[in-house]
Amino acid sequence: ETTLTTQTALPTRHALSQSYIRHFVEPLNEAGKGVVQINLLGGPEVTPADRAPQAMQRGVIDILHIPAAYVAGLVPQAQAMMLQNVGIEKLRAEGAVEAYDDIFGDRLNAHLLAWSETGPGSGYYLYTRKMPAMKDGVVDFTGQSLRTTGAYRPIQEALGATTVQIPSGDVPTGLERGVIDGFGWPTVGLKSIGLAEAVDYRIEPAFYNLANVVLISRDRWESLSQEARDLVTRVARDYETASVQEMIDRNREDIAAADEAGIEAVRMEGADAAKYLSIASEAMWSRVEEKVGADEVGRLRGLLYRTE
Amino acid sequence: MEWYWALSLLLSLVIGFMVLGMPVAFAFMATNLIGALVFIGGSTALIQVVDNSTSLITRFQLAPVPFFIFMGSLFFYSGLANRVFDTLDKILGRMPGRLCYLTVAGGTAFSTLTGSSMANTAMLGSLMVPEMRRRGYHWRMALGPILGTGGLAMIIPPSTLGVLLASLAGMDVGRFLIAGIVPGFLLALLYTGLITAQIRLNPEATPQYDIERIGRREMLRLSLINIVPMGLVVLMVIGLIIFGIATPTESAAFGVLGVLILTLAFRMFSVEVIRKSVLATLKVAGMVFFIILNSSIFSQLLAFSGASSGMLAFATSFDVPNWTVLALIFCSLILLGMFMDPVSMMLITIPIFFPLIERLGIDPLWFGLFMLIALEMSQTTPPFGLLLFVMLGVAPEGTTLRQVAVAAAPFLGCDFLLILLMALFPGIVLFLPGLM
Amino acid sequence: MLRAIGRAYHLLLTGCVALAALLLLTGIALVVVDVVTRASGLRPPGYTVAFVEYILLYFTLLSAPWLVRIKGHVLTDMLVVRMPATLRLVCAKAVYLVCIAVSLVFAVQGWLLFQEGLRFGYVDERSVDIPYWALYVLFPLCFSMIAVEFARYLLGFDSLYDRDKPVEAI
Ligand code: NA
Ligand code: NA
Repeated sequence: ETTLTTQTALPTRHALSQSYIRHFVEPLNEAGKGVVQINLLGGPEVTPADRAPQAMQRGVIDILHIPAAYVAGLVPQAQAMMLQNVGIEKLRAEGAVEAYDDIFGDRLNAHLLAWSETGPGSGYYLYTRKMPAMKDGVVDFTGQSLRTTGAYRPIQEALGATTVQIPSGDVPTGLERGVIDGFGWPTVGLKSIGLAEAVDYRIEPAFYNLANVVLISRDRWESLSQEARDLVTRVARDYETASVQEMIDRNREDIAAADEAGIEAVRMEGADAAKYLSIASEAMWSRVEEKVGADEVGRLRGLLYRTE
Repeated sequence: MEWYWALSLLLSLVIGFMVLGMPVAFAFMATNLIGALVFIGGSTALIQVVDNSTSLITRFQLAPVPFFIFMGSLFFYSGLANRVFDTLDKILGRMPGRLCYLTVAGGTAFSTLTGSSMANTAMLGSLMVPEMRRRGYHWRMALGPILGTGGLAMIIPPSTLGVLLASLAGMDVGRFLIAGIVPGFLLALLYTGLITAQIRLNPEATPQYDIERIGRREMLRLSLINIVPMGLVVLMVIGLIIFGIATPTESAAFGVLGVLILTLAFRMFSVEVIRKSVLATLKVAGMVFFIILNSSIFSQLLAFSGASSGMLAFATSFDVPNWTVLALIFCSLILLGMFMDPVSMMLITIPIFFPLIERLGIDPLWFGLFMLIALEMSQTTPPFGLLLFVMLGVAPEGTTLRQVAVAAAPFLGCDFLLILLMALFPGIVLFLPGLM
Repeated sequence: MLRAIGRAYHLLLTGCVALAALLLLTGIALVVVDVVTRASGLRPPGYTVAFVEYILLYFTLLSAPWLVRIKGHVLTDMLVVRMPATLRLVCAKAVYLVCIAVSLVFAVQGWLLFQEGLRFGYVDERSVDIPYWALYVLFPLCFSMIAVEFARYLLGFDSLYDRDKPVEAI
């Protein structure tokens, strides 16, 4: 019996980590008795999130669960994973997962075990205190200040917002005092960070899709027995599917909690919604293109993005 | 390795190095490298230790610490502090220990605006300690009130650590922050009572110098010249926060700007003043940050080796009444706090404690505040206490870590008393959020 | 020759402190400019937070060797001062040796990380992208200088435990 160590880059009580624990760690320990076991060391307290990919690469930990965007500094193509809009079955069937396995192998010497907690049915919302204006059917944040991080800056700027960088600890005060009028957040987890009372509007539809990856170092992967590899692969596949449903359920719970806290949806529909999503995605695609070039972006678009 | 062996190894290494007289930061560096070789092994262990070292220090939240130290140093070296405190002396009259009370009042007021205990302590320390020392205050009376009041910043909202705690525990941030108001101000009252008692018991600890009596008119004139301008700087910093122009983190930079403008206006500006203030800032912030650079890896090793989770699981494994569980939790927090920074402590302990206390039927809001106070205390306990290090930096040369810790001890007693009061009257915590 | 090296080194040490001081002032100015830009309705530069975060790191590293020189790093000498003189000397030398060793480890590993970042083109994604090697660019220099400072103590130029100023009450 081999024991693999693992950590998640998000706190262990985070909804995304919980999905990983419930649908991958626990089933693997159940199914792997006598063959392979997995030992969850914890969250970012083990290795800080921004250092965890290298820790996996160096073999300090065996398996890492991490949002794809967190790896983008080392693997620039990973940033595009949140732009997929075809769903995990097609990603598998049409070769996107395989392509990314090569990319992670090339850049981090890692094997991509799972592409998890992704859409359809997940993504990111913008939340604000002030009702945004509409311009040509799409929200316009001119005159509003939104809290930004690297992942939200392209869309926020494309929608005319003033972007403000403040540490997460300052967000409640920032909202209360009006330094910021809103922020972007994944479709799951607003409830768990307790900011539902602090904002009033949720901009729908959700843009992008969540995308987490589970990585194992190739050296470690190849050292496992064929039996262990097959087992881990099978559990990882089930986890991918289960995690998508998990996100849909969590999202529903979070929306209900947000409704209860009095958050109103500002909804764009039909062509307007499509335009909004396109603005968001194109802003991010051009950011990815700056890093990997037009050819690579062309290839990735073909693999994971469909425009109607 | 069993968790208790891992824990003993790491703790005895770091304590051993410190006792042998190794600088704290280097004791952590050496322990981290040895610990990594033991628990991770190979050359990757060393490179990972070094790689992790830059993660915690490059956080914007730490920026106010050097900024506020610089502001305080400018205030002192330019001579502005002298003018302000001279005037305050004349206005406050012969009240013994007046600067101690002033520290508590000012520090509490500032706590309602800033969310960082380190920034608050840095500001109070560099502002008050040199003046108190010049005026002949005993080190106990100069250092203690600042260490106590500095910590209030993370209990009275806004609180950076409070936001992190609530979001890690999945609580409503707003309600949790509100819950800190009553305990925070109550703590300030306890501190005031403590200072009064300390002065009664030991009158020589605060100077009894005579001050000239002045009339109302003269009082007004002096205030206008000396206090009002400084008040304007404070108001500017506060105003920026209140009117939503700057965050508490950013406002520190404007504090510096304000004092700089004042030194220019009063013709107290000189290159020499800037030089002295910058060096003082480098000394304090450089020292504390170098410890932070190396201490966070220690927490990671405790987590990685299973030492911390093993100890926590052990401490929470007994089938005993709730108050005993809380006592065990309190002891483990204080023990961890002797060697860890509060952020790492939260990441490690919250996933273990919160499910447990929910099972026991303890109110999470109450427990969150209980934890926040324990975390505040842990920043003031030796050998690893970030607030102690900040104070040691601003304290005069020759002050020892022991002296700083001794000065802080009675104020830790107040914190403990507050926890007991919270246990007896949970309304202290739960009343205000209950109104929401 | 030796004296020239000594002078050059001293200049380097002073230069590091001066640079740290300059970075501190720059950080303050960056934040002020950022807030003023935002308040006047313009789009603030994206780099403020990332730059200030790096300033915190650089300023820590640049002042660390000087802090060893001026005995500015906190230590507890409770036990040391109560030791017999010979034992104290042995103990002090051991402490210096360990400090030199760990500083050199940091210098070397920092150099490796610097090279790794350079070779693979890793990026540290913050409010703006910063090349990863920038995190470690100062490690080889600063930690070597820290080792040099402890070597001065080891060779007997000074003792970490002789405080020039007597303990004074506040
Ligand atoms: Na506060
Ligand atoms: Na402590």
